[in-house]
Amino acid sequence: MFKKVLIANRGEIAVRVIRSLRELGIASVAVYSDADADALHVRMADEAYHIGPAPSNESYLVWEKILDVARQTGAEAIHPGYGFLSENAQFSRAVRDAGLAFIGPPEEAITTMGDKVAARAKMIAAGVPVVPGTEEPVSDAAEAEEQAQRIGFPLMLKAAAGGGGKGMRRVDDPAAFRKAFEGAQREAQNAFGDGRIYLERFVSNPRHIEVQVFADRHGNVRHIFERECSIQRRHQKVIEESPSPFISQETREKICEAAVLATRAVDYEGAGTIEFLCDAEQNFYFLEMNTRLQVEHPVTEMVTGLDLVRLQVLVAAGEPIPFEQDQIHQNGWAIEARIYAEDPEKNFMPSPGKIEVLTTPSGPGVRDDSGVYQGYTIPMTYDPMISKLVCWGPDREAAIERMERALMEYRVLGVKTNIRFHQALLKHPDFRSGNFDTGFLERVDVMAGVEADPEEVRIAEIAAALITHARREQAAPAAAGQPHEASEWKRAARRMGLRGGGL
Amino acid sequence: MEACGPTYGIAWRWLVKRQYRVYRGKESVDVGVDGGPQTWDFTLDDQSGTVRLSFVEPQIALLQFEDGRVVEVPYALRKGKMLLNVAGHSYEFEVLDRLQALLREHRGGTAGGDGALTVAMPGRVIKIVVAEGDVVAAGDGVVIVEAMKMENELKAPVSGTIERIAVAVGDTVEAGDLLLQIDPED
Repeated sequence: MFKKVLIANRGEIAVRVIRSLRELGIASVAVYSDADADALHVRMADEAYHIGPAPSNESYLVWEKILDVARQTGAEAIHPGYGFLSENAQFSRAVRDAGLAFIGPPEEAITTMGDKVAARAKMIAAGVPVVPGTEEPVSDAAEAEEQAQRIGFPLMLKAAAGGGGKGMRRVDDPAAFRKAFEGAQREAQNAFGDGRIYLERFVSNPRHIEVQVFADRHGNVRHIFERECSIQRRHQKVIEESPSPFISQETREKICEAAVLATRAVDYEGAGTIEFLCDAEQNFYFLEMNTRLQVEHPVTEMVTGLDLVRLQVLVAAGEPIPFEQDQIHQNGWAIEARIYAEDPEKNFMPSPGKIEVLTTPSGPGVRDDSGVYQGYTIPMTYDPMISKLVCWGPDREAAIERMERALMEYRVLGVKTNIRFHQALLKHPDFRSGNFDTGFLERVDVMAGVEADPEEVRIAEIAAALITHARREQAAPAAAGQPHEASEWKRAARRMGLRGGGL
Repeated sequence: MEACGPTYGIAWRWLVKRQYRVYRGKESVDVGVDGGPQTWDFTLDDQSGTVRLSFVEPQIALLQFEDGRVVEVPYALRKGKMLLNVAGHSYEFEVLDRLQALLREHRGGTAGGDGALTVAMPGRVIKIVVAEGDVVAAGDGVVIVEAMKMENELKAPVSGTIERIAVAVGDTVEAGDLLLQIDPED
């Protein structure tokens, strides 16, 4: 087992990794930029090294510097977290070339799954369902029509030679296909000099369902069930849960099996996630594979009792996955709300700044994976995540109630947060009934009509005056009498002198 | 001389009960507080009541109302504004005492407007030359801000009285931040 591991990341995920390393008795090495000298991951690590100015491309992405630190400190492995260098095949190769373990998949897997065309081809070969479409572009209208029958409607027409919307069309009605195809062809020919067109099924209002997978060096591949991540804003996940409230047990078995097939097809190692699109009829299609640990991994941990970071380290050290497929089960329900420093009233614009007061929830079934602390200033340079609040309950209703309770305890003063947004979302009947897809937040403004409670505003106003007064009393007590009042007299007199009249 | 009468009367009331004007954006309410050091009588518009105030943590106040309701209020002061959190919702107030409120009213406007000294670029306040209540003339140096490794002496934009100083020595400021408010002389 490793004795020392370097974390090539920052924020809450670096803290997350340090915790599991600590439980394994492994020393942790943190790296930090100018903006992160006082960050939580630096405070918690055993050793910490400065690697450059705030911008990521001058620090966290400069893998030569990171490798230098690893060599200096004698770290035997590097955990890349998520984002940054975690899916950088070149980095993964450089780590291995330096004689260190990369806590993640081999570079070939990263490269293959990073290439959409290559990934799709591998999946088809492996028998994993993909979004129906043409593998090669077509130029003949009759052939296109035949393919369209096979693929099904609605479908998208896309120019093979370029993008930007040219040669792109959506076709809902088979009767309209021919005309649409010919139009797309003409447009593509004019724009790119190439009239070939790809056809692809358009999955309307899909749900985003992903499956956690793990592979070791001994040929074992396991799935660790699914997560539902359909609540997204501008393609960013906002709230995630496990299990999915939508799919049937039959679909669950099929989709998890497909994920295992997909993982085997790329000679994988470590943690990975297979993302699928799922339509209203529970047909699912491979979207992509993320060859790293995901932000929302805690919901999987909460329903299975597993520590996925620990598993990553074990596998990277050459150990086999310590359980059989039938030994793990989904128990209860877990929901994760990403708490961000952003302003829901300004289109969720980031709101960096100093956290003056921070009170985080706890108690039964509540987990807060944080990257901040009271007094910390959230820097502008990185994503404005405050924490991931994860709640577990014996069923979905209980998990939601617990999350609502936890959000009530969560107090952040000093930066704007999306806590109110989460509260509004959790109350929405479509969320509660599990009836939503990836288009939900585009269609619904969950905060419409949410207003401040007038009684609450009154209490806040009373508190503001009281606190101001009490602090003044502490600074210069009226009980002490004259000096305080005398200066007020003087000032009043001065003002009146200026005006030559009464107040 | 004639000014002494009403002033004396108002000052007496000040000694007995403090009046504050609490601004939330452009809206404001008048809150009166009386008593202490732990139990206070308050008035807000036509509401009145009694509340017990304690500081359970350095930045968390606890209010207990007569009807038993308990409300925790995390708070912080930032650039002359009071940030508060009630029931998980954040608020930002400007709390002026009676004098400051009267002066602002007299000027006929709310925050900003003539008499406001704001800073044009980010920096750090290294010296404040005046105190609230001081009389200044337009052009007098009032605050020194360090920016881009140079010291900049900022000057009073108008003649008048320093109504309120919104920053403290050592504060970091951003472009557009209010440094101090002058009540312009008529």
